[in-house]
Order: sequence, then structure tokens, then C-alpha cells
Amino acid sequence: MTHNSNVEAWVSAWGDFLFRYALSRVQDRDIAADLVQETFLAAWKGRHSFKGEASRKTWLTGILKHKITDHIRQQIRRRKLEMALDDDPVSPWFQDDHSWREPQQAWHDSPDRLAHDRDFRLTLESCLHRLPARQRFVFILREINGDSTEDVCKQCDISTTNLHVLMHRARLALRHCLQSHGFGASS
Amino acid sequence: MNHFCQQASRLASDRLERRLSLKETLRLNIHCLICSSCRHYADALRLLHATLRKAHEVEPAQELPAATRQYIIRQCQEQPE
Repeated sequence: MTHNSNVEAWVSAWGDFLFRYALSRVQDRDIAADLVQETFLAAWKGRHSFKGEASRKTWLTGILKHKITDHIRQQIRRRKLEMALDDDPVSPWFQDDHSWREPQQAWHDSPDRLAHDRDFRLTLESCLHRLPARQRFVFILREINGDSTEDVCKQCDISTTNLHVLMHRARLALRHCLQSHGFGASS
Repeated sequence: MNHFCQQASRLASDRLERRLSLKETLRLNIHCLICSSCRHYADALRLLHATLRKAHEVEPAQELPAATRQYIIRQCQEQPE
């Protein structure tokens, strides 16, 4: 019986934390909830092997991290076709002589204002969804969550150079997408 | 100098990922002095970078859906000891 009450205690103590952790990385409520669910089920099954060296929270987060990594790699594999596009050089933005196709405009705004701007957040979300899978995951982990380069490379199974290339392409595409929605479109 | 724009855009992004060499920093900065597109692009990346970190901090608190919560508890309780 003590175990029964424990699982409720676990979920109430760490459920929201784990959900936010997953959500900020996969950006999808249903997927995040599924991953947290799998995490608790796996943890519960393996609860007797928990040695108590790390805190319970760290242990659960570690399991969730693996689940997120599996999910990301699966998504990337499933969208192998997209990689043709993903690997496309930066041709949409530059001419053959490496100059910009369209002049870049100044973007006068403040991070504080933008971060609280609902329109901006919704636009950003839709622009992120248009990125190829690898670019999107790498960008979200690195730029939004601030994960270390090493962590992101491990999670997405790529080299540091790959990561820099993907970040570069994601930024070009996002800047273009945001500008086309009026963010920084005119000074 | 416009033929350097593509490379400058890469350096502007890399600057947020790693420490640029002195030579790279100089090339980027000098190019941005004379190229307004690259200057605006590099500034936009910095603004975006700062905004995303900020947005992550002020994100509204999300809660694990109640249905998931109940499902987990039920599934775990049904597991044999």
C-alpha cells in the first residue's frame, strides 16, 4: 500500500516539473504528456533499482531525457526525406555571388517587450514548425532551452560543425519568416 | 565586398555558438561597418537570441494534464509488486 501512495506522491511532486521540461523541448503538449507518462511507468518499474545516489528528481529527469532523445532521433529518422531540403545550402537567401537576395532590414525592438508579446510568440511557434525536423530540434534545444553544445550534439547525434550549420540555417529561415510576418520588417 | 555576406551571416550565427577567432571577429565587424544588410542581420540575431532566452523564463507555468496524471497512477498501481 505504501507504494500506491508513493506513486501519487511522485506524480504530484514531479509531474508538472517533468511536463514543463519535456514541453519546452518537444513543443507539443500531447507528446510531452506521453513522454512524462512513459517516464513514470519506466521509473516505477525500476523503482527498486534506484540507489538513491542522485535525488529522485534528478533520476526521473535522467529517464525523461533519454525518452526525449529517443523521440527526437525517431522524428529525425522518420523525416529522412526532409533531409534533402535540410541539407540544401543557403541558396534561398543568397545569390550566386554570395550577396543577399533581399536587403536585410533593421529590427528595432526590445527582448523584454517581444518576450511578452503574444503575437510574437505565436508567430515564432508557427515559424519554428516550418523548419525541417533536425533544424527545429537543434534550434529549440540550443537557443530556447540553452542546452550545452555537447548535450545537443549527443541528443541529435550530430557533430559540432553540423550543429553550427543547422543553427545558421535555422536562423536565416526564422529571421526571414519573422520578417515576413512584420517583425523587424521596417524601421 | 558583398560577396562576403553569406560568410558574414554564418559568422554572425557562429558568434552565438562559439568564440570566434580574432581574424573572424575583425572580418565580421569590418564587413558590418560597410554592409547595412549584414549589420541588420547580425543585430537581429542578437535580438532574437536575447528574446528567446527571456521568453523561456517568462513562459506561463504548464501543468501535467489531469488525465495523464490519473493514467500514470492507475497503471503503476496495477503493476505487480
